[in-house]
Amino acid sequence: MKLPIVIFMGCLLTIVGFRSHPDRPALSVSIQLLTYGLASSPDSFHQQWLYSDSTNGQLTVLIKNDSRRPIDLFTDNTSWGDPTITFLAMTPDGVVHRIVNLAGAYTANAPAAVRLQPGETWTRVILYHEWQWGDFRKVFLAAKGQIKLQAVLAQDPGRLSTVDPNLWSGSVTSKPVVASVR
Amino acid sequence: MRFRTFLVIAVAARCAVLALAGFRVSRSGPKLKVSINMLAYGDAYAGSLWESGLSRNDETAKLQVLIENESNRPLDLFMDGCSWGDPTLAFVATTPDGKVHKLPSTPLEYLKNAPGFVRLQPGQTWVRDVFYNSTKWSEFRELISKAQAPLTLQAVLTQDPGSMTKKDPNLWSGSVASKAVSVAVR
Repeated sequence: MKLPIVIFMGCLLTIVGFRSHPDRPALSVSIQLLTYGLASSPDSFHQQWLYSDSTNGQLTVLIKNDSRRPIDLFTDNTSWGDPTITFLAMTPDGVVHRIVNLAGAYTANAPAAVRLQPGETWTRVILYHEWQWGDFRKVFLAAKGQIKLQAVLAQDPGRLSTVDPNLWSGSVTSKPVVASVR
Repeated sequence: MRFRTFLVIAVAARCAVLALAGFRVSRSGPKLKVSINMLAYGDAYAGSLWESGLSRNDETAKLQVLIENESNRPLDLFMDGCSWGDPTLAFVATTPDGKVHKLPSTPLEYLKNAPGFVRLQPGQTWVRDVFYNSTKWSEFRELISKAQAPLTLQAVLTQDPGSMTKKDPNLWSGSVASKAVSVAVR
């Protein structure tokens, strides 16, 4: 093999190697369901449960900026931010339920945003027993055991992106997690 | 060996090593990554950004510490709310006069107590809420009540499970500090 060809192929390999994350999405979304246990009896660990009859159940969605530029996302508790998170829940019968935030009446309202610098993570706590997440309760009651859950973040800033060019536009779905419903 | 052949082998080997190093970028580094979450909020109508920071007077104010498992195996960390887990998180603050302050959590009396852990699977992140104006963080609260902005803040996670690793080999052992962040105090 000619020397220039070897050098060229080597350089190509180097470039490909250093590009370890080509073309990945700007944002990643994940549902935080952790496992808890006792170090004195570590075999008795359990995954975080979802409760169908509690009054203070919550789960956390992590949204991470995987890009190299700042990204603005509409915050919750506004008519811009509340609808951006939805869930897909698959019950044991194979039916996929779309769970949306039912909040609709906003009195004092403005498009507030949170700015995620590269590498930063925003945690959105979903209080799934509050009335605006009423669909969760229906799905939990139908599940009777386990559900497969995915979070979807979708944002369409429309004309607001001309005022704030950092406003993210797109849709990204988390990996599914299997959760036990009690 | 002819010089030209030697050169070809040397260049090919170097390129292969560099390529492998490139592929390993995402896998190297510490097993646990700790970071302080201080996000900035703003108004999308005005395109203005509000500064993030610590609040002197808001007793419900919190900051978040993110602990991410960057290893390839599950790691167990003592949970907060028990005598094993509460002391594992501390802060180091540097005030504008250059003084460095260690800010541990305030030891509490634990009546019912067990070494609870949270298990982080590879890639999972645990979010620890720190209500820094509470009695649990009295030294933190005292510092920011007097401090001039901005503070430089680092979170430090330290865990020494001692002989408990015999029962639970997933218990993480070590100390890791977050990057320093500059925060305003209002």
